[in-house]
Amino acid sequence: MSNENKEKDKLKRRIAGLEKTLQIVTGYSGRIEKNLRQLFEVVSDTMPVPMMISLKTGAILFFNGNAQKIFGYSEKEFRKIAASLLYENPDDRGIFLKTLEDKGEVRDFAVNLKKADGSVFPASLFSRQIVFEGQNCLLTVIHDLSELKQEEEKRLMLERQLRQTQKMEAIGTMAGGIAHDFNNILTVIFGKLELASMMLPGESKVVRYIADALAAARRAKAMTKQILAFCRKTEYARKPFHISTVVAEAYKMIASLTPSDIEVRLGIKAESAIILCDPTQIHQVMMNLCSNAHHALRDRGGVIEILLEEVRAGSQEKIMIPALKSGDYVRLTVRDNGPGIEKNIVDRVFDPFFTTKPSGEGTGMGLSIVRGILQAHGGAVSVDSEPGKGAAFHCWFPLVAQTEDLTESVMPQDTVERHRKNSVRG
Amino acid sequence: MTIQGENYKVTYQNGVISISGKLSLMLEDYEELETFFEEVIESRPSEITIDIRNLEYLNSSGIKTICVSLILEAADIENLQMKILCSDRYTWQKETVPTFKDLMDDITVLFG
Ligand SMILES: Nc1ncnc2c1ncn2[C@@H]1O[C@H](COP(=O)(O)OP(=O)(O)O)[C@@H](O)[C@H]1O
Ligand SMILES: [Mg+2]
Repeated sequence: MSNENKEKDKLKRRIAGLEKTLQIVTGYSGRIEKNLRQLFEVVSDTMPVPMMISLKTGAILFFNGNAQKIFGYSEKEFRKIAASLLYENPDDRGIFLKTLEDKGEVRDFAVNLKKADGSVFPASLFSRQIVFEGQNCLLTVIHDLSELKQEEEKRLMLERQLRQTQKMEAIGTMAGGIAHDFNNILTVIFGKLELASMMLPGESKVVRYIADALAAARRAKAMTKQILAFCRKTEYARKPFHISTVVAEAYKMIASLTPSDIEVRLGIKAESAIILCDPTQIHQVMMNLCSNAHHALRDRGGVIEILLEEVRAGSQEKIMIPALKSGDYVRLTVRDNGPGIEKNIVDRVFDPFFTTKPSGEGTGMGLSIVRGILQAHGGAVSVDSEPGKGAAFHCWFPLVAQTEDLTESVMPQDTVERHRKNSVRG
Repeated sequence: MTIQGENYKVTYQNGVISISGKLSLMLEDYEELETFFEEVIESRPSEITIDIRNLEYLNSSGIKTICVSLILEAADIENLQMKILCSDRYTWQKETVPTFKDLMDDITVLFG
């Protein structure tokens, strides 16, 4: 073969080789493209967040199952709709695009979005510019805030309520104390006025003045009586209840208001135990203890355990808790695995107005109210805590009876039933 | 001879080219590897073994570089034997490397 032919041959072979290479490379790229697309679709449909890809013009090129679910559009509708119509106020998309242009990405863009049925929900948008199917697009992830908002609102409302109750209790305690002192003062006024009128001749004009003063003092006495009655009114509201029902109800409410990084567990081992109580006060006890536990677990998460069990207080318990009389109790425990309580303050946590929280966050009344309620129920409260090992508050309620040994005279069955129903609302 | 990249390594020793790691450069950045292969070919070996058993990933530009700058050049040398050692751990190798046989007669692809 001539040199020229050899060269020609070599070139021919090279061209054939390059053609084959082209086939190999495009075949390979095709497989990679397919795998990447598949990866993208699997990722976008696996992640539990709504996500979509749109053009600046508003055309929607891609949306995942969650986006479809949250907006409630069918696949066909979604492909046709303009992205701006997903906003409550379509102009918001303009602001969103402007932010994206200025910053290169959007994080936490708070906005109200609109579903297919016209309802509106609060959301936060995260977005980046990407190239999708050969076009400059924006990939947007939607964070639905409606549940968060609702929970936050519920929590704020409850906090307000709790603070209000605490204030009312504090005022009540104070008013009660003042009324009591007032009564003593009034007793002196009565005595002296009566003495004075006795020492005057019957026709004296002063007797009439003193009679008027006595009448006014009597009114004052009636008023203090009313105030005292108001402060003690909870005593009269106490009826026999299955404490387990009341605790389970309160638990439900507390659990629904607890942030997701805190787990609330309920363990009821005193199903049939009956105590004399005012259910709203049991709620209050649990709320106060759990709100402290929430605070203790704030920023770190953890577990709150609510336990209800029957225990007998013997000599041992009496040493630990002097206020406790020997006998059978139902013990409600609220335990958390938070930071616990320092040795030097553990003896003071039940004192009124004792708080380690910044003003505005704590009133220092929570535990003193708990103690007051337990005292009024003939029980006691105790704390078990070590720094770093969490805290457990035990509320001891005297046991009245068990469902099994209920007798007509102690407790008509329908009373229990009726109050059980009431406690659902309370 | 050795090229040590950020995620990959290429060596040539005793007639064996070993490529390992993940190789995903842009097309224009494969020049260094092209020159590397050129030098291998210029040394006129009678046998070349390409060991990619530890090459986890190779992008399409890398495939193109191996095909054009190594295999097609080697195909022009008479009596040169080529062996490619592959791993069936990597799907891309199973799918793609056997098609290299179309580029050269004296090529053996071995999976292990
Ligand atoms: N579960 C708990 N873990 C740690 N410390 C607690 C816990 N519960 C109460 N405390 C401490 O007891 C103090 C008094 O509690 P409380 O009477 O409820 O008032 P407040 O919570 O309003 O400050 C708290 O400020 C806190 O220092
Ligand atoms: Mg508190």
